[in-house]
Amino acid sequence: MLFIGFSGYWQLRMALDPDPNDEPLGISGPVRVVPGEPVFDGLLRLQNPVCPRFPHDTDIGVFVDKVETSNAETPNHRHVIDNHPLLGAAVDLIDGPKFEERGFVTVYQKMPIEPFHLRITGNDIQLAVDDMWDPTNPDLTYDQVCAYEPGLLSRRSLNVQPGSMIVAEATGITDYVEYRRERRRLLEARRDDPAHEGEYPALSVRINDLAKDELATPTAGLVGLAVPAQQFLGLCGFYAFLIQGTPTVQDPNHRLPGRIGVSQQWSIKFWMGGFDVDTLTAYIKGTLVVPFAPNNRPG
Amino acid sequence: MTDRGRLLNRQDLEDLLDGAALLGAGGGGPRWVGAQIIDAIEAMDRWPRLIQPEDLRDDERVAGTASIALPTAINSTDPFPWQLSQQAFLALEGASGHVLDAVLPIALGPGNALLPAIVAASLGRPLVDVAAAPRACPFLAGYSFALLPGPVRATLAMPGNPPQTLNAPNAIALQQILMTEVLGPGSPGVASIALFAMTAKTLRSAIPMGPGGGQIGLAYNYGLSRAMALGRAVRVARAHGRDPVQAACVGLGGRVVFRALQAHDAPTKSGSSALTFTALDGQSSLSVYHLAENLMAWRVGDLAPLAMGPDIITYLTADGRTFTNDATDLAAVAGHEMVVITAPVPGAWRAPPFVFGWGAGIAATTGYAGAFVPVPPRDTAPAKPAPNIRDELIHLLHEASELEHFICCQYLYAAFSLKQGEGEGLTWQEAMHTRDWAQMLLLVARQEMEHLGLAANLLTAVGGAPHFTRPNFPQSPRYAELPFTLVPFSEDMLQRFVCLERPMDTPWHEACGPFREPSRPDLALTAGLAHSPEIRDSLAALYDRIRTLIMTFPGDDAALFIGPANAEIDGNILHVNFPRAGALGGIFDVTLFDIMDRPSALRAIDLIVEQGEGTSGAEEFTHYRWFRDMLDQYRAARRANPGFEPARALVANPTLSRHANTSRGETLITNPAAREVLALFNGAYETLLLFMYRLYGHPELATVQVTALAYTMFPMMTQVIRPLAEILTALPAFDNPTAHRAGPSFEISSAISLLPHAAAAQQVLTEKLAALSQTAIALGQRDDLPDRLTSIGQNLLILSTKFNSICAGTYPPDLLIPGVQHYFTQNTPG
Repeated sequence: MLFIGFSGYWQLRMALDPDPNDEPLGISGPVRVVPGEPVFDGLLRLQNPVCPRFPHDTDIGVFVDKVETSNAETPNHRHVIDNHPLLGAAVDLIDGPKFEERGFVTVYQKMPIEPFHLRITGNDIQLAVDDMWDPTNPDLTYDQVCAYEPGLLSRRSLNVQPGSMIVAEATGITDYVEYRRERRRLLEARRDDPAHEGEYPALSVRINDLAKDELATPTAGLVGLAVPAQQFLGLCGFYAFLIQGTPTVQDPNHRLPGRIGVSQQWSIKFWMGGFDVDTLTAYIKGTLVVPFAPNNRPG
Repeated sequence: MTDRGRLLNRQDLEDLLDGAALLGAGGGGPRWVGAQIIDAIEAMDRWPRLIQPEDLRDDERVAGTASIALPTAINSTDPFPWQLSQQAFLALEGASGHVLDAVLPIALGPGNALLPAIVAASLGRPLVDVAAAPRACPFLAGYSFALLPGPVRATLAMPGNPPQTLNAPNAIALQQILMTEVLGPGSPGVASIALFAMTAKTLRSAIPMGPGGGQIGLAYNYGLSRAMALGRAVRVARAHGRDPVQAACVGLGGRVVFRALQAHDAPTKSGSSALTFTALDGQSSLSVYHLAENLMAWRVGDLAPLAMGPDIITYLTADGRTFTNDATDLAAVAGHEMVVITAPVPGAWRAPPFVFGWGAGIAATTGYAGAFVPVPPRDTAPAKPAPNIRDELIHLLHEASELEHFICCQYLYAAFSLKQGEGEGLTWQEAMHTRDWAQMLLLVARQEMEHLGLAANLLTAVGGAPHFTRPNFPQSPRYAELPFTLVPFSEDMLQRFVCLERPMDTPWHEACGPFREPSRPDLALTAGLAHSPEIRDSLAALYDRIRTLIMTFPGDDAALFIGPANAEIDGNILHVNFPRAGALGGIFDVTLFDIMDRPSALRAIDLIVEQGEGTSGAEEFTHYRWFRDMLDQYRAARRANPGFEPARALVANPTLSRHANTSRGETLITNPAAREVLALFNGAYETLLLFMYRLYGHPELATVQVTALAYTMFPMMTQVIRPLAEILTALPAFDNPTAHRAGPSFEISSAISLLPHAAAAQQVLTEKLAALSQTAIALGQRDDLPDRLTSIGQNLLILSTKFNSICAGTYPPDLLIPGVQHYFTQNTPG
């Protein structure tokens, strides 16, 4: 097996509860479009963010950070491959992926991702697979699944945890309240810096929203705004499913030291969490597992 | 500092002061002491939080504190040494070797009800809403906690000395020690004690009802809340020109036995003192014998006492000022007509041990050794028997439900009317304002929905039925002379909202600006109405009346709260009880809980009032304050840009058809496309109400049906009704071209009521959702209407099939489990 680990920040420009999921500007929830930005589109962007916000304006992108192998003889022993050609490859979901919970119309707190078209690209290699709800009925739409076949909703989080330790370690956000206070101080300093004069309106709006945290106590005030804004920083959704589709592997220059199976279902597990409602970014960490036969194996 | 319990404010404490003065029966510490303590609390700016005993963990510990003082030892011109109580409390904590988690009042009385409050506030610990007796009592053995088994440990703090620990085999022996230590020769004459340290579990065992209660069953549960309600009733009566004495009698369950213009206090030969009142005509007099607290009332010339302890003998002035038999208090009411009231204590306090104990004390200090003379109940028949109070309560909760519903729709309409973003011609600063205002209006609207839900739970609890209908908009002035009308955001609208949410004691001109102050109702014309006319002055007054009715209902919790326990809707069912440090619930600013007794009922009313009008201690988090801030921001924005128009040109009170139950002023929508979307909106809104009726109104629902209803209701609001309302604000209102836009009309037909039969309801609701879906999808195909209608239709289709599937038990169960697990559970991705 080849265990392709990936991680990184990604961007989500989507209105949050209690806004409807297609709210274009963000009104009643903790996120909003700021001056100079286009309206929300709800897309999960693992690459190529739109108007990324300081201080996550340069670090958005999910990449392969670890590749390990195991073999049939010792399936539980993984061997790290330091110079694997997939290291550093860009991990992306394409064709407009969204969290399609729709304000709990479809499911409650499961954050299903639709569509799930995975691409891992780098060093002249591309791994691709498009997940289907039902391989025997590839035309089945998401709405049809939700209405008539909800049992097929595999591509959803299995568990959502607030205050996740895993997220805290991955993002370094150990104190949600202080993190947002520090962000506010950071933005205020930037707003007052003449070098960033053009960002004044956007920064002012963001500071205005961060300041609302101070208008909440644990039980009173703007609890419904401040608490989610803070708790999203520790919220974590876990996913694990078999990708039901036909994988493809492009390796025209034969950089892979073997063959990745394409007649088998690949499996993936990952968590997404630590959503920062100020920068509209979150973190992802996971592993794609694919069958792998090294070049020295017959086949 | 604790965050548990209800934060009390100055008004609460002043109400407590007056209520406790009445229950203090002449003693319990002078009124001026209590007033000084309130000032001291305000000076600290640390307000106490009132907690119910069931909110304490079993192993948490509480202890009481009170003051003992000779009248000559304290002077109203000096600061009262309340710190002695804090010292005694902390010394008891040290002596017992356990942290004392909460402070308990022992005696009710203007001083001794406020002392634990300041100790609780100063130490940041909650104040427990249980008193040891329903009145103040001069004998330590007369307090219920004295009946707890085992020796009594107390700590005594006196000026200039470190606190000392006293151990006595029982309360009688402890009293003897205290008499010597505090009141004996050479003693300072003033001290505070802390005693009755116990676990919350033991405390609850001393409460007649409630979890784990009943072993002793004599503690006065909700003692402080009851005192506050009594004080509030007197204050409100004064404020509205009603008879405060009558209010006090109703609250006490007592009767006026004497009216006087003079009172003279003097010691008797037997060891007590007698406060002698002289009648208005100067022809008769009444002596009230007391040892601090009143022991016995005897009309001069009679052969037997008029009343005696443990029954309550108390007084106030005819214009509603409370006082004690302290000389300073008496001087403060000199020249006022004084009224003596007697009231029976609850039956358990007339049990032989207490009557004998009081009899012995009275005999020793007054010389009267005759039989106990019980105070008769208030008149032969109470002014309002229980059924009538229940009727009024249900009537007022219906009224409250309609009001919350009306108000919610008005806030929603205002929010939907606001322009958003620079795309609608706003500057970025103006767009920031309009977004903030819409955000706040939607937040406040959600809290009005929460209030509507709590009112439904209250109705169910007291034997009524949830009420989710109302007349259509517009409505002529119904409360506080303010019309209920759907209008776009404006200065006038904001001022109306400020006025509507104003605290009960805020002067009209301060909150209501240009609106005409309502004239006082003609009492003669309102006689015979089911409720008091002054509740129409404000929302706060309405809830105040509801609170008073709950507190004064002549019966225990089981008699008042007769609704089935499983029929109410709480935050778990609606999935808003997101756990977090220090609190549960409040997601989307909605907190719902079951109501099964007075504490939970009062908690609901407190929550509604605190979120709306608020209290001085928490005013910054209230609708009233938010609307005032919004008004200030709006005016500043208009000054900066006189051309600033924050709202779209929505018509006032749009309607699809004219209704018989409205006042004038509706606007008939005539644009065909807008009419079709408006019909869809009204259909979705009515369907939501049917869901709410079904969810709140039927106790025999299976869990799966409750789940189905709850899982459908929330997305109906956010994913169907709100988007449809937003679409309407962009559609022309009329056939002929004008700038006017339509808007959501929230119309209700007469066909909306509880669908009582499960199978039929399931089919009707499924069909309605499916029909709405078809309509929305069809409208979404049209060129003159937005594509968003199609996605609304698809969402409705999913809701329809999902609802039906959950009801039928065929929906995958793991999809019904909320994804968010317990806060402190940590899983790894595996």
